[in-house]
Amino acid sequence: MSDSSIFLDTQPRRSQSQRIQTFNNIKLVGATIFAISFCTTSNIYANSLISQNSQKPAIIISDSYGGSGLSSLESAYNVSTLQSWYGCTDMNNKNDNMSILNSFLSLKENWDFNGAPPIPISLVSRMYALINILHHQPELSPTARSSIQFEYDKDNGDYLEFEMFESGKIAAFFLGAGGNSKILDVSYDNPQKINEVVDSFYDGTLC
Amino acid sequence: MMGPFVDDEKLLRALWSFWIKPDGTIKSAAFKPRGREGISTDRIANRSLNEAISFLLQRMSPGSRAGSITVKDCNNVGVQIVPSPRENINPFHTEIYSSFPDTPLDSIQYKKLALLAVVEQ
Repeated sequence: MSDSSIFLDTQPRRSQSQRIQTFNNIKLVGATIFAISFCTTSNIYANSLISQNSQKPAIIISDSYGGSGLSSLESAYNVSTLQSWYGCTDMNNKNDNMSILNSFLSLKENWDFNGAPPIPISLVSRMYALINILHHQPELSPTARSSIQFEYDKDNGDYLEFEMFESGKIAAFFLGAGGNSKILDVSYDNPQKINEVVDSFYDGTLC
Repeated sequence: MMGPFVDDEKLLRALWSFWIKPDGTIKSAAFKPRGREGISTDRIANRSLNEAISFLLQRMSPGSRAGSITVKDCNNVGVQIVPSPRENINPFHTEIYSSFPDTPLDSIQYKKLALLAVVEQ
């Protein structure tokens, strides 16, 4: 890890407490934070730091590339290059999701007061592994039918869902803001395919 | 004897905390039933909304919340609403089913229900 890393906050709508948590997570992975916002001044500063440091100059914490200030940084270093250096890792959400998965293990029989069975340990274990490799962290929730649901929402209303079952089945679909939908074919056998689907959801090429 | 369902009647669904997003919207997971049974709800019928919510939540764990969806919105999603009173326990119990016999709702229908539902309390 470079000792002169730059944090690019591409989620300006996050709350102050979420940002602080994210900054703390960055420190945990050993990065130094030089620039923390997307105002014009810090963009210029970030660009100058990038130009001075040709190796692994930045960490991207994002599940969206819609930040208004990102274009000037893209001109200095291609986002995909930065991603390949560090991975597109949202440490904040990944840590949160690990905790959330842990909490699913405490759900006892009838946890929804309507007869829901516990979430199988084997499914939770599988989800740990999957969460660990995902470029974009989902919102997680248990269902009353012993499955775990991964959800992704975009600001424009597009929606992507994976429902993971212990049997190995994954029910996945895209629902566009305009009502268009698409059933998706993914499986545990090829977890990178899930990354590809999510990446294409975010770059707008899924549908 | 309860009357027929009318378009603006609300059906209440108990919500567990993980089913409510930080922005207050509801996840589709909230509508996925345990097995082949319908989605369990309480119709409001001739009660006030507050009465109906209290009756629902008194049977749930502390911290549970109540969401609602209207009969009209259910019809727009293409699902069936079936009275399913539980004798001596819950005369207002109502289940939501697929329009096709012995077929669960599809994933997109669950999501559409969630998009149309709101958190009441």
